[in-house]
Parts: sequence; structure tokens; C-alpha cells
Amino acid sequence: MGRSEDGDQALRDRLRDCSEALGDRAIELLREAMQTKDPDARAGFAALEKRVTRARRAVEKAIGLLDGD
Amino acid sequence: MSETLMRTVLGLDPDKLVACVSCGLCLPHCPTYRATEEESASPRGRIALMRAVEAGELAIDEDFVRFMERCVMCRGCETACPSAVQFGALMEQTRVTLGSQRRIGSRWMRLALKPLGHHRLLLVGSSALGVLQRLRMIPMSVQPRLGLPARIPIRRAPLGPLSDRPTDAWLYTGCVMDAWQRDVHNAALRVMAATGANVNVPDGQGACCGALHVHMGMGGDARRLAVRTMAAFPGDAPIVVDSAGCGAQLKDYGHLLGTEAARVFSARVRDVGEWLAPRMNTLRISKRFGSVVAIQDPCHLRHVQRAHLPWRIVLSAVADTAELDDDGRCCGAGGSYSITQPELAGSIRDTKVEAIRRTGAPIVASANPGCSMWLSGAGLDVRHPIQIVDEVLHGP
Repeated sequence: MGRSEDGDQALRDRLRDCSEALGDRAIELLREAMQTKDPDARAGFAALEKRVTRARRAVEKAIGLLDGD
Repeated sequence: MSETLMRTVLGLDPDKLVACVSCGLCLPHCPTYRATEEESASPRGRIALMRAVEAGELAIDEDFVRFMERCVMCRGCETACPSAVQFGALMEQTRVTLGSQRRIGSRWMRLALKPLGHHRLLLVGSSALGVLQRLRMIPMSVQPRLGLPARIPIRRAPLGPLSDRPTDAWLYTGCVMDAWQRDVHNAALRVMAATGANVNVPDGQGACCGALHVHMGMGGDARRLAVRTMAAFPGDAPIVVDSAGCGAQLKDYGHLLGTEAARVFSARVRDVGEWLAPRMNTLRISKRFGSVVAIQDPCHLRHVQRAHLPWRIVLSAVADTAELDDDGRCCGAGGSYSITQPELAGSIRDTKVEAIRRTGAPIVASANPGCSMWLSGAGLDVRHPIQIVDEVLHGP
């Protein structure tokens, strides 16, 4: 494997870590949303969770592109 | 139920609850998560919420109930889960608890499920509904909302052919399916008879399996119906089912009732595809079906019974088939889900219809009446796979 391929693999690994971290963050936000009783705060957490999920999807798309899918 | 389970708020088995490690591999397989992009609509999100309730960190409020109700209970997540989390069992128990507190399912929905256990009343009521439909007394806009088929049968052909010899196999005819899709039962009976089997249906015909009651959290009603259904099938002959949803429920009686008799009963249950596949060599097949058939796997056949592969053996012997490229995702019918959650169910169906259209096949085979009616509502030509076999053997 050449240096360029090593670099690509490292990049993919970092993106996978990011995707996992974003997934963990989304589930944390759900827990935080449910712990508050204020409906506005709950809606705020839900909107943030949705953004985080979209970010995770974008990262997964990037991984797919690097994989050549 | 053990003392530990009795003490918890939702009555969930703690071992089943801790099995989820929130890895997220279920997410792409969950139709509601894909439609909403919300963790509260994902299997791991729902489990996190169940855990929070069980730990006393979260009260059962309207949002919690809504999140649980939004699950279509397709159990696609179970097939994808590397930790073998029994999500279906967790969700069913949660709904039974919420149902016992009258927190899920409207009063109307509960009332609507009551006649399902009274077959003659159901048939008469269904025919009356058919008459009202012909007289245009049921507004067209309301019909999909009520989950009604486009043309409710007013009269039904008698079930047959039935054998007067000792029974080799029973055909389970159920409740709503017998009222609305008896032609599928008769196709199954003709094909089963063509294999040389002596097939019968129980006296009084249909006994509701209780699947919709479980979905609605009506655990007591579901158990009562299970006991009645078991009594309708004496002996040890296999019980053949042409509805994937009912078959999954009958196979779960061992778990639902927790008795040895129920476990023995469940072991006798076979989807008609499972029963027919090893008997295909007994059929005289002299031609093939005229169109390519797209195979739609009902969730309760693929993810719950895991009995979708025999239909490939059966259908490939009589027709050219096409596979969907969506990894067996749900169509959104989900028993009464399309009635209780119409928007989400519609969005899930749109995705399924796109996958079906990509195959280019003009006919769709679906082994579950709920999926069949729901997909027909989107303008597709959907048939039960046994009807395709029957047409090849006996003509249209």
C-alpha cells in the first residue's frame, strides 16, 4: 500500500470516528430532551438532534464517496 | 412474570433492556428513523427512553407514549442487531403496560378490535360495510383512513376444497382476511389439495390470532384469543397460515401464554410458503406465469418468522421473479399502523413503492394481507404469492 492509500485509509478512519461521535451525541441529546419538562427546551434539543443526525449522514456520505460507492 | 419484572414501571426484562449497546447499526434498517431522522423514532432511542423510565429518570408523559406509538413494529432492527436485542419483546411489553393504563390506542380503535373475536358478526358487519361502500355512503376520503379495501366483498365463496379424510394439514383462516380476502384462502386450499394433502379448516372457521390486540397493548384480549385459537386446531397436524402477520403471532403463542401447550401449538405453525416449498415436486407445473413478479417480503415473514426464503423456491418454479433493492424494509402497513399513524405510514410506503417500481415488474407478490391492501392503495397490482401458484396450476 502506498503513502497516498495509507492517507486515504486514515482519513476514512477519522471520518468513521466522527460519524460514531455524532451518533453518540444524537442519542445524548434525546436523553437531555426527555429530562427537561420545558416544552420549548425539548423542541430545541430535538432540532439540535436533527442537525446532528444530518451531519452524521453527511459524514457517512463522505465515507461512501471515498470508498468509491 | 418474575418479581423483578413486577416491580419495574414498564415490566421489562432488565436483561433484554441492557443488551442494547446503542451502536446504531439498527438505524438504517428502521423505517421510522429513516423517515424522521429523529433518535426518538429509532430502536436505540426508544430503548434509551424505556431504560430512563425503568430507572425512574423519566416519567411516562405524552411524548414518551407518542414515541412508542410511532414504532411500526416491523422488527427490521432485530435482523440487523449484532447484540441480538429482542426489541419486539421490549416494545410489546411496553405497549401492554401503556395499554393497561389506557395510554395508547384510542377508545374507538379498541372498540373496533372487539368484533374480530366474533367471526360471524364480523362477516355480517363486513358485508354491511360492503353494501354501504357500493351505495357510496362511506366517503372516499375516509376509506383509506379506516384501512378499508377498495371493494369490500358482500358475498364470499364457500371455503374449499376441504377434505373429509383425516386431516394432513389445517388452513388458518383468521378474521379480517377471511372477510376481505377469502379468494386467497381458496387459492391456498386448491394448491394444498393439488399436492395430495387432505386439508381442513376448523369449525366456526376464523378465530382471530390477536396480533392487532398485541400492537394496541391489549394483552388480556390477545391471550384470550390465543386460548380460543389453540382450541380450534386439535391433533398434531401442521397449521398452515397464508397471512404473515397472523403466522408470526401464532408462532409466538409459546411466549405470549408461557405454557407447554402453547409452545407445542406454535411449533405446528407454518407459513404456507414454508409448507409448500418442500412439496413443489408434487405439483404438475406445465407453464409459467405470464409476468415478472416482484417479491415484497412482509416484515413479519422476513424479520419475525425469518421464513421469506421458501417463497423464492416456490415462486421461481412458476414465474420469473425480481428482488427489491431495499434490504427488506417495511412498507408501512404494520397491522393498524397505517390507520393510527397515516402520515408516517404514507411516507414509508412512498419509499417502498419507489423500490418496487425500480424492479420494473408489473405484479407484486406479498404474503401478508395488510401489506397487500396498503400497497394496492398506492395503485400497485399486488397478489398473494399463493394466488400466482394457483393461477399457473388452475388458470385465472
